[in-house]
Amino acid sequence: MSFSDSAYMRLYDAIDSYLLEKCITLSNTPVGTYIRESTWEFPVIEGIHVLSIAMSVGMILWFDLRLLGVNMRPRPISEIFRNIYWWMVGGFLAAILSGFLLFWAEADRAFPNIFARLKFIGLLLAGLNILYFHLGTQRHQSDWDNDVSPPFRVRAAGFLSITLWVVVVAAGRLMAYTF
Amino acid sequence: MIRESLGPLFDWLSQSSIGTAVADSRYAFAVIEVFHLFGIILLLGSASLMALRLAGLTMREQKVSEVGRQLGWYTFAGLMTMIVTGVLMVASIPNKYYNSGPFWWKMGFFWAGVVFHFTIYRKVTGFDRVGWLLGGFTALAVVVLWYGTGAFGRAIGFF
Repeated sequence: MSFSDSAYMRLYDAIDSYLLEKCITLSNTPVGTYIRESTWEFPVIEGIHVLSIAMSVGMILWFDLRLLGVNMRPRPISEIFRNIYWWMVGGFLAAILSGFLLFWAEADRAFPNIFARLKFIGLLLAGLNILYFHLGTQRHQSDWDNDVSPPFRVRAAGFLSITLWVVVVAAGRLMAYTF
Repeated sequence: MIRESLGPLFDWLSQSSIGTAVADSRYAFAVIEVFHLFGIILLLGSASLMALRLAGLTMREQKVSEVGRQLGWYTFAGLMTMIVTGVLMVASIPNKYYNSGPFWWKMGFFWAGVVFHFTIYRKVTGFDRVGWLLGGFTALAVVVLWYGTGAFGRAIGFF
């Protein structure tokens, strides 16, 4: 039995077609059609999406670079985090909301797209990286908060974060070329 | 008037080997645009944080000059990345950009931003302390000029 005939692949195909069907339904709702066919709304939402990504990813970059011990080294890590937190969260909320509206309008074309999938996987992994950092690594923050060059696991979280956001941004931009 | 006088530059770009090389390649433009976006993120990310500090909304534990020193290199790197990738993008399809309204708005905001960056912004971010009026004005100018550049840049693809 080949891999493509395996139970896993059949299950994958079933889930894939089920989700594609839901995405087609979503993009054909009145709201999805309205955004897609609009003259101004779609470009404005996309503009907000790009600028809010620049704001949020641009903000998290300073925290990641501090985790790596590259930038703002004389300052405690907690201080950098406190200072960027709400601006970063605000940017992310705007990016997620505008991204959801864009997906709503083009879900049928975005769902099967390889770069869209790469973007979603990147987002998921970036989220897991943040979760692991907060629930695990950050519990001992007092041990390394003032370190000019923090321990390996802290630097690794910063490096992984930057890498994943690069993937998310690049895949998001490349989606437009492959629709 | 500026548009017409720059016409020969666009003609020359359309004939240049680098422009035709990007235009002929299947992936070059897309990859260059991804790096253009990285440049915008570096520029907007660093300028936004600096603007927030100038407005007294964040990083008040640090002197303005200290934040400026830490972020200045990234702003400069973002600017240079945008210029190099931007020239390559324009060189590949000069006619499209020459005839695009948002492109000329973007250029207006961008070059105003560059002039502002190397004059007032550089001076103000070198001060240890900045009053609310000068800080607020500089922060507002940074946001309007760079976010305006980004917004009109995005509009090129649509209008």
